[in-house]
Formats: sequence, structure tokens, C-alpha cells
Amino acid sequence: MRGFNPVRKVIEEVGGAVELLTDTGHCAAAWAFGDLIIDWNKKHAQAAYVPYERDKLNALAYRYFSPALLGEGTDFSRYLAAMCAGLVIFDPGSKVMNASSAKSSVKARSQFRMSVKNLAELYQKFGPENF
Amino acid sequence: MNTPLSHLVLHEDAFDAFFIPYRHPKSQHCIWGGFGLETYEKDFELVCSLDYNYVWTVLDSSFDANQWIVTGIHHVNRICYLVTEKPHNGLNVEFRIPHNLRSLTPLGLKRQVNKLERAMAQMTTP
Repeated sequence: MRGFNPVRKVIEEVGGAVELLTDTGHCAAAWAFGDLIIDWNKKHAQAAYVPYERDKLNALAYRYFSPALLGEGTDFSRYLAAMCAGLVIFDPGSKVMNASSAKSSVKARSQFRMSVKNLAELYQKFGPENF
Repeated sequence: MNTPLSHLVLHEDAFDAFFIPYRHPKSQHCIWGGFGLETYEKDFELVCSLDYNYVWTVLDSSFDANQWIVTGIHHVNRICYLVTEKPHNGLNVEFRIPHNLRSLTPLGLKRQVNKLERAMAQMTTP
């Protein structure tokens, strides 16, 4: 994590990034704070997490359970702090197709994941809501 | 008489080969390898404006690390939306994106594409 102070929980470098480094310190992949901030705030400022199960016999049939978990009021520093604390993990998923040919392509399937039990770390207000 | 269409669970490779996802020219972001449409603002408005039969949702599974591509517009556990060249026409199908990213063999891919062709033909046969 370049540009974030995990002790003070503040961004100290606007041009910082979440980076994947090789053993020799070379940056192999990076996610700039600037891009992540926009996506994070837009997608997660008000979030509902709804437990569900899928009907394994009949496709496209789902059952949703109460309560849902509602999270309100987040900021990107909370997300970065959770990542520094090891609560958010990088789940790599880049798949290179036809790597040895001139028409190689990459399927970007990487995700940053977090356990439901730690979600409250991301929000000012977080809790169950029955429906 | 046709037998009822059964539920198909196939691999992402078959989805790519048969339905052919593409990057929509009005896409505002670069996610999911460039093909994905976001779940908010202009991307989502675009998704809602498109013909339902060409729209798919990428879902994150809540019970394993796989991801899924399903027909139409969904909200819970959505990652992004996709648009394809071919319509799904409400086919009862889900495509698994395995967490280990393993690909189908050429023979496996051919079999799954054949299944899709049969299922789609069955849908259009009166």
C-alpha cells in the first residue's frame, strides 16, 4: 500500500495506489487511489448485504433471508485501513488466453474480498434490518 | 412433442464462444476485462435501456468463491452487467466462472456449445 498511513488512517499521498509487487520490488499491477475512491464511494456509500440461497434443482430461483445488513456512511480510508489490517484480501484471478499467440487476451477476474463478519469496519453505521 | 427445457449449468468459456460478449461503445468504465458495465450512473442507465434479451448479470456467489453469469438484470450480489451479440431469450441457463479459472478442453467446449445450440433451437421450435 503506497501512500496510506495505517496508524493515522489517512491518505498521505494523493497519487498513491494499492500495488502488487514482485519479489524484487517491481510493480506488477496497481490500482490508483483516485480510481478506487470514485468507485468505492459510488458503489458502497449505502449498501445492503442480503443472505440468500439458490435452488439447486431449479435454476434462477433464489430465496432471500431476513435480516439484511445495512451499511451507511463510508469513506475510502476505512477501506484502506481494513486492507492494511488484513481484513480485505486480494483474490487474484487473471486468466491469459492464447498467451503464445499474437491474439492473446486477458480475462480480469480479480477481486478484493472481505468476510461478512468484518463489514462493520467499513461503515459509520452498520447493522441488521428485518424485512 | 418437445420435452421441457431443463436447467443448464455451463462453463464461462461456452458463454464467451456462443453468446459473444462485447464492450458496449457507450460503456463508461473499464471493468471485467473491458466488457463489464457498472452498477451505477450512466452504465446502469445504459443497461436498463438495452433489450433485456441481450443483457446478463455477473454475480458473486455467497456460498463459494465462484462467480456466475445469469440472464437478465439482477441486483443482489451483482458485480457488473454484460451485453452480448446473441440474445438469450430467457433461456434457463447459468454459466459458472470457476475460482480456479480452469478452461474447458476444446472437446468440452464443443459439447457445451452443442448443448446451447440444441437448447436455443428447442426454445424457438413451436
